[in-house]
Amino acid sequence: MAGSSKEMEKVLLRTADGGSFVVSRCVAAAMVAISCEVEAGEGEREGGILVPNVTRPVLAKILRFLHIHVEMAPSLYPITLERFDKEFLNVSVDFLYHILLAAYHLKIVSLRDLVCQKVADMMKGKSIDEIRTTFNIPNEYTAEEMAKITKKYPWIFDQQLDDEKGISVEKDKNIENEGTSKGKHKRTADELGSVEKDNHIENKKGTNREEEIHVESKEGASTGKDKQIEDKEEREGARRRRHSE
Amino acid sequence: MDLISELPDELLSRIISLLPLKDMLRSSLLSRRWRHVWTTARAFDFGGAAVLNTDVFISRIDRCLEHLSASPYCMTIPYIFFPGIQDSEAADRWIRFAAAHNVARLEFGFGVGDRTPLPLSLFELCRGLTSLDISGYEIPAVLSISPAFPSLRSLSLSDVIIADPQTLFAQCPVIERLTVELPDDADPLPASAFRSCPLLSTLSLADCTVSHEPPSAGPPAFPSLRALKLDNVGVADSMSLLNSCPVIAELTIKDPPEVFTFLGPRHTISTLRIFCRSVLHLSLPFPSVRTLVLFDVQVASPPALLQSLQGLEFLSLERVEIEPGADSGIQVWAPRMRRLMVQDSEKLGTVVVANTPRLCRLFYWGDFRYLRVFERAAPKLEEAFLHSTVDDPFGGNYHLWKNLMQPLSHVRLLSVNWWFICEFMQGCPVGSEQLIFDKLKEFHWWPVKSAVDQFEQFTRRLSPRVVSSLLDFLKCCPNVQHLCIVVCSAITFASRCFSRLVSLI
Repeated sequence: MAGSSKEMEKVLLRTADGGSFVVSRCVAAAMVAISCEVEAGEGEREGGILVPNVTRPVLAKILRFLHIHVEMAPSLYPITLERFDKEFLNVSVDFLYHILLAAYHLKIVSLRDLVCQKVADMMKGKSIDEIRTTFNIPNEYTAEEMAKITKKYPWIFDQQLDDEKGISVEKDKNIENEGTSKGKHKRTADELGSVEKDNHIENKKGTNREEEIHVESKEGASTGKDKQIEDKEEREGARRRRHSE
Repeated sequence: MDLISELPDELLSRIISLLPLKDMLRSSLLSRRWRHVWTTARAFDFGGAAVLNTDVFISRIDRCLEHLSASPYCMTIPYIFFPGIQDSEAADRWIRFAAAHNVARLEFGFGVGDRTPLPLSLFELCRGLTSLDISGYEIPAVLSISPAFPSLRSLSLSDVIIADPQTLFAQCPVIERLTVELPDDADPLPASAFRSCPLLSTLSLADCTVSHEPPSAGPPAFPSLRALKLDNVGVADSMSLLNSCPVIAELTIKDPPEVFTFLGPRHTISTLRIFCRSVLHLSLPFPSVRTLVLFDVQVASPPALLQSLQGLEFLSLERVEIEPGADSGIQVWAPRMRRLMVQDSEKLGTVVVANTPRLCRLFYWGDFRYLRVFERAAPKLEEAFLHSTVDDPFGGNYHLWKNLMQPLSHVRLLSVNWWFICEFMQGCPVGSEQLIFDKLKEFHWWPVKSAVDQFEQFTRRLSPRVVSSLLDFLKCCPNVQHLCIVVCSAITFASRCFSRLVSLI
């Protein structure tokens, strides 16, 4: 992956509003919409590749994401990547919109799915007014119209009551995934242990333990690794800034 | 400015598909743009309409389905989850809805109520299914000329009564993953029922019996089976079952009702997991086994075990004992072993890591008086996880501690719990007798006392003595870069589950 020398060659990316970035070839190729041009070697030309539909700050943000997930991922713990993702999407709703739209146009599937999940999480469990406030959605309905729609499904507002009384068979949904998770919870603690034993996931650093330790402990693990990323990112960012100036 | 609503339809559809049912329906009240977005969702979980009264539950779902059927925006729904309500008419309606919307992955949740027959419309209409999960129904015998599910790749049956396994599995000729869990009163499954599924690569059976098959001259019953998991499955003839799986690579046996007789040398198994209370005899050489996981097993002869598994790369022993009467202790001479995990296996005797030139990870959870590592036994060791279940295994004797740790002092990562620092603090000499860990880069310390002391108050403030001894230890590690002190709020949960969690190696 990011080991071969061809992948590490630098390509130049430009935006319509005058931004320019020098990134590794593998990072540029991760943006599927321009990967053909990257393959064709356009990135090494004088003018670089013009990345459509995206402004400079948004592309900077996206390139940072790709740098971590494409170039640095093999040497990072999964939990570090999760934390990075969480921190990365801690931005204003408007910026989130721009990132999502750019990820959609540039066909970066992992980022698109990540932001969609983030938006969905921002909508879960909230009332209509709260969602409208969060996303600045104006209320176009009249009271009668609202009443009409609500009459069809009066029970969607009874959340509290139902959760207390009812059978909850809520479960995760996998849209693109093959595997389906089960709504049954018959597992004993022993089974849980054996199931986890079954998952001998080969990981370069063997670090799934870190994931689980995080579940238990919430602090301490991998703070060192985070610092490492921050340092590396700063250096990378500084380098990019120098290049773009 | 309302930007989110400006997103293209495809993105809004993706976002809405990630929401639970109620949030999805509520979104139609956000604005006109959002009025019909929920009808374009590509995954529906109707368990979200749950309520105690079954009739109300069904009527809510029916209402949603009517709305969706009437909507021009709702076309294909790849994934639908229906609750397992044992009402055949309702199930029939839902199946017809799913079929009309080209569902690819259909799941019926855990059954509520007595088992009712599964509607035949499932077999007649849902031809595009790639994944199907059924719980709690009675599956009737299906007679059809062509298979009902020509694209089905994954099938999961739980708590079902299968009238005729032969015809059922004949409906899904390209299936690759099959999981079957039967209730206690079910009939035995004949192995020949699987002959119609030549592409089956993962099979997981639980709580059933596989009946004896006379050996047939034809092709093997499981030509593509690579992973087999048997959980409380009675197998009448285990040898012939394994003989009918020529490419099997992974075998997991849990709680077999009878002793599972093992493997001839020609088998291709590379991963073997055994969880059961039985005696393990493995005396033939099995050079193909790379991963061996034993949980709660009695071993007849550990040296013979290791002798027969020369290709072993990963060995995990948890709660393993010696058969009464056999010699205790196990010496690990394993030329290819890369990871070794031993937990709660003091009854096995002393585990001696004698010669493991490729070992890179050692995990020991238990009493350290039963662990020994020879000098230069593991020159490539990188990570050591040493967690003691006994508070003070060496009685404060620094030299015993040093004897254990000296062959391990070249590790890059060390993860230990309370015993490590306390031992150190009680008898550590200064100067040249100190053990230096010059390659240690990462040190994880879990200041958790032994698992036995469940009700001891966990003090969040460490005493100055402990802290100073921690610093003393760190002085012996000149190159350490990361220090993690792992703070757990529930001691027993952590110590019981840590071993399982860390087993995700």
